[in-house]
Amino acid sequence: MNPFNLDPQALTEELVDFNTKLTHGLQNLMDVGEIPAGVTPKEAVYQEDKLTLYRYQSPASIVQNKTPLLIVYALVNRPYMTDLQDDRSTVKGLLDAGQDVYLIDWGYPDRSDRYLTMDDYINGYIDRCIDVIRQRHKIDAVNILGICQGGTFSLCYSALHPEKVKNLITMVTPVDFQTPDNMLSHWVQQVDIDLLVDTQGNIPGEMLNWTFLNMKPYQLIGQKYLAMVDILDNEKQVKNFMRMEKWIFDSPDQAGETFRKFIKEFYQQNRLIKDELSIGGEDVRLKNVAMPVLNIFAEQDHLVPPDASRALKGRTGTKDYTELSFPGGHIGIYVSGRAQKTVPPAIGEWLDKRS
Amino acid sequence: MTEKNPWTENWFGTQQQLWKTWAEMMPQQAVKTESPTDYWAKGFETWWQSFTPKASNPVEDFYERMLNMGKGFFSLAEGMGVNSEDDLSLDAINKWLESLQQSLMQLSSSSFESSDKNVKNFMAFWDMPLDTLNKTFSSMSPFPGDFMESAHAHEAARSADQFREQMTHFLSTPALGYTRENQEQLQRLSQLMLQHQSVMQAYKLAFAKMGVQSIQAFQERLKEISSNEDESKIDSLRRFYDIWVDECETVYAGFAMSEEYQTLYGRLVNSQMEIKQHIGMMTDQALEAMNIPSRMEINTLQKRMQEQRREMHVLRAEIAALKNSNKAATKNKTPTKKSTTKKSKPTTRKKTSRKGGSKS
Repeated sequence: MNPFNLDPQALTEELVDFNTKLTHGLQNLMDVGEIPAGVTPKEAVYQEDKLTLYRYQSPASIVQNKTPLLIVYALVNRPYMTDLQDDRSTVKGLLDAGQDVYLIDWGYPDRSDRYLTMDDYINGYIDRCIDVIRQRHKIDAVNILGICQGGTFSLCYSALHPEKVKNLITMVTPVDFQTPDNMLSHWVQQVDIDLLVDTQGNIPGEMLNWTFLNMKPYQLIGQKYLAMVDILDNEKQVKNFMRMEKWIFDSPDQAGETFRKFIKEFYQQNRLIKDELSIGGEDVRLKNVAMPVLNIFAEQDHLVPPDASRALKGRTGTKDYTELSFPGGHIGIYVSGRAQKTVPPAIGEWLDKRS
Repeated sequence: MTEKNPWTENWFGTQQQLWKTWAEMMPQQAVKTESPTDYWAKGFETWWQSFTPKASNPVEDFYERMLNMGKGFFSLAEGMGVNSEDDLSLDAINKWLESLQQSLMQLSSSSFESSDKNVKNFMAFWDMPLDTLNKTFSSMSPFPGDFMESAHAHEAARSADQFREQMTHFLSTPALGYTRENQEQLQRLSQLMLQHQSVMQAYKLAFAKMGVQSIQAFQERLKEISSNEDESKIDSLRRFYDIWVDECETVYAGFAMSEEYQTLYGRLVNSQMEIKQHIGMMTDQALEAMNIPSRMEINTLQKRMQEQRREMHVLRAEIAALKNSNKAATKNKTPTKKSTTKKSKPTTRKKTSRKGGSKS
């Protein structure tokens, strides 16, 4: 049997249609202009080096949780993904759920930051931001929401400074870095990281971008743009698409020494889960994470496979461990319509019960 | 192709129609008077070039990504069309896929340069992961992205393996005389570049093999659609393309998770870094000779600066803790109303200094 039901006329029409959409779509693209991202009003409350600690403005009508929530984002890519646009904002969802939201923006490290270590990030920057929040609110401990690599940092922080963390939420966070489906981990096992960092200094953000795209090259570098042609005549959708593009390619360079430790000791040696990690001369033991933990992961995550996050279960010292599985991908968990409706409200509810 | 072939006639007609659309939208000065033989491809290029100066950079980059995909899409249509004598059939498609497969196998012999326009255009589809990889390396390389690429072509023309063997032998000749060290450095650089070329060749070979597997998987999928009455037939070029993408992605995912790929990827990154590190070392020596700060010296300064930043934070925390304890002591001496607010305790680090790089 012939698998095709396609005649020359139909093919011609499809091509002409494609061509027309592509041609006319350029006008919309040229009219796009500046693409704002990070939409919720916020105030910078602390700055140090390239880091800025923001506090988001809460809606006046909503009763707030008295314990503020600090979002610790990854060093890879920019944190405005959590507040991309008005109708796609995890931050906004959390504010609406009654949380007092702070966020660390790491900025763009340059060559002068090459020797920033993981110790500097975790026991330095994160700890000082938490102290600032504690002082502002006159409290002993804050709630933390760590995202992706920021989740791993938050776990380490919580193990090292449990007295300062009231509740910990990890979101798409790798804990076991060597699950069989972890493509990134598979790729870096034979890379000489010392040679790479000694040679490069900082790791170019562009290199990470292309590495991520190469995980699904035909879809992410090809099919996606072909599908884009179909929405070129819709200004709003074009803007949404371009905003996402901006975020994808907006990758800060990685401080060399932090990258060295993260890839060697987490990806290549899997030390966190083996209880063999130390940061700043102090042992990082997951059993010290005794505060309530909410572990959120995405079922179709190709960057941090669900099993890499699920590995946290049973490994911490908490008696109050909850998992939340989201049916989507690594990015969809912040920006999809379903995520907006489910994830921030679930976090809010979980935190309120423990406030 | 015959004159009666409806696919060919339609394809030619479509291209004319597309060229007209492009021409209508182009500024007049950009329209050339001669009639292009490949209406669509030329229309695309000329039209875009006429707009490029007006488009901002992000839009330009983005649009180029889309145009590249458009080219692949049209090549796909052309490939389907020109191989179909009458109705579009599985046999006709298989014939075309086999010619692509042949081209990929030739590519794997590292001497391939197809003169077939359609094959050449569509090869870009398999090159996507390789092209991405080149961009990745370009971001870390002291050379333009295509530097090593042209070196490969040159090498291929000289019969790669034999040439490399001779060169390696030649480069192992001991250096002599006053400039011995410089000679050795240049020899080492050439050896590293040859080594990288060899790794890159192995990498490309593996990708070509993967391309062949992708075509085979795609053929299997088409066969499956033919034999399964419940499955809907392919009724658009887009669906054909989507199925193709799915198959390629599946085969790629398997390849990317193999031990072979892990080894190749590691070797490729490492060999490129070795070149860059060696060039960096030679550059540093030249800079020192000219009394210009070298990378090594700047690294030392940055490392010391970072150590001082750390020490400064520790000292600040200690001063804050001392101030707090002084305040508390003063309060204890003068009895006042008991405060209900808890004092925050900034972390005082145990260690006063730490070494910068954690190369454990």
